[in-house]
This record gives sequence, structure tokens and C-alpha cells, in this order.
Amino acid sequence: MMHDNLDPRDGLEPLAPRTPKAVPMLDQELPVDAARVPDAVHAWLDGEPVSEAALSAAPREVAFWQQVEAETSTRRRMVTPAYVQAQIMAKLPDTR
Amino acid sequence: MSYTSVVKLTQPTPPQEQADADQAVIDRVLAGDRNAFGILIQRYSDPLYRHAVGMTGSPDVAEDILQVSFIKAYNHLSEVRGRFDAWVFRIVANGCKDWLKNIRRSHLSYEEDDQPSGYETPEEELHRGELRIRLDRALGALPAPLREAFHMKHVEGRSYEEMAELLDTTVGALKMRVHRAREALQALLEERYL
Repeated sequence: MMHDNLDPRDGLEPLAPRTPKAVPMLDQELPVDAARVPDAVHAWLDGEPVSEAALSAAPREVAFWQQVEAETSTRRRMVTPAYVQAQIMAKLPDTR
Repeated sequence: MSYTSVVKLTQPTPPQEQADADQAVIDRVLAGDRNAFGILIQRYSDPLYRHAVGMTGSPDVAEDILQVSFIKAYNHLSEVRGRFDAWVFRIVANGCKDWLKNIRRSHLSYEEDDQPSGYETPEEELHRGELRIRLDRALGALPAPLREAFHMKHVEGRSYEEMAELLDTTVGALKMRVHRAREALQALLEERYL
């Protein structure tokens, strides 16, 4: 059975890497024991019920992740630049 | 201190009415109404753009991936089975992974680039919060599967169940990735923030 080729670059000009930043680490390069996020904090971040006492035992981690959340919440509001839709529409083939 | 959950969830999986509405648009496009495709772009570009920015760290690259992905979706629209939003998400996600593979092969790194972020001038960057810059760097250093899982959970606000559906894997595997990403990020940032 044939599967759809979902490679978005199929048949189109290849994307050249632009403004590359960090090279992602390989899995084995992760700092394996540098940070231990308490289970209660993971559960809290996952939206699971957690007792206040359990979180109180990790105040620094809770404060840290609240800072991170403040930042990620701004990213959650990011929208596509208005011109992008027009650019896409202009590049659609006239016939299918 | 209040301990309300910090991860906001997006709207639940689009209801059947949404899927039906998408299919109606797809039918119009397939019948020759090219402009109707703009409805689908308008409907789904923002979450896809956020995903691409999160994975690549560059709005410019995200725009390119979005553009190529929607054109690909348009050309293969007759092949959509099931939810359009999940289908087009996978096209964009594959585009991001493809781009990341090319970056890895290019052997470039932070040290070869004097700007820590790809999408703002140095002047603008001065106004960015330090955490924002450091978080960008830390996210950029994560292996792609961990970055993808963290971004979908914490930035896109998706549930594990929705992530599992979109990435065709299990909730347990995704929880593991998100937890590992958190621990790596905390390790990378804790010297300054913990």
C-alpha cells in the first residue's frame, strides 16, 4: 500500500538553512544528572492534581517554572505575519 | 503562593462540526475554488507557525516551512483522510524535522554566529528579557524530539492525548520526552535562575 508522501518540500525548491542557531544535542549529550525535577512539579506542570504541601517542598523549582511559563505564554500568542497568507495564495498553482 | 496549573490548554480537539466545515472547504477547493484554500490557511496558520518557530528558532525559516507546507497540502488535498488540521500539522512537523537535519549536517553552532537569536536585531534584542534569550538557546540545544514535545506541551498548550494523535505515538512516550526536556532545560538554566 502506498503512503502519502508528506514531505512538504517534495517537488519544490529545497529550503536552504537560514540563520542557523544551535546544533541540537544528541540524546547522549543531555545533562543526565544536572537537574532533578521533583515528581510533584512534573505532575503540577502536567495539570494533574498535586497537594500544596508537595509543591511547597520544591519552592525554587516552582518559582523557576512559573518564570518559564510567563515566557511561554507570550509565545502562545504569536501569530503568523499578515503577508504570509498572501504569499502562499500567490504561489498556489492555478490548476490542480 | 498559589499553585494553579501553569500549562494552559488550547481548545480541545476540533469538534465534528469543525472537521465538517474543513471538509466543506476542501470540497470547494477540489471543485475549482482556489481562493477557498485561504480559509484553511487562515484557520490553521497560527498554531502551525508557532510550532515551526518553536522548532527552528527562526521566524524566517518558519515562514518558509509554512509556505512550502501549505502549497504541498494544496497539491495533495484530494488525499486528505480524517482531520485536515492533523494532516497539515504532520506536513509542517516533517518540514521542521527535515530542516533540523540539514542544520545538523551544516556543522554550524552558536559559536559561529554572534547573535543568540535568529529573529531580532541586536538593538531589539536588548529589550528582550534575559530569560527569553536563554530559553531560546536552551530550547535550541535540545534534541528535536524533546524540543517538539516540550513546545507542543508548554507553548502550544496541547494535551498529551492530542500530541499522541498528532505525532502517532503514545501518551507515555510523550510524557517521558516532556519530562526529559524539562530536566534538561532546568539543568541548562538553573545556574542563573534557580
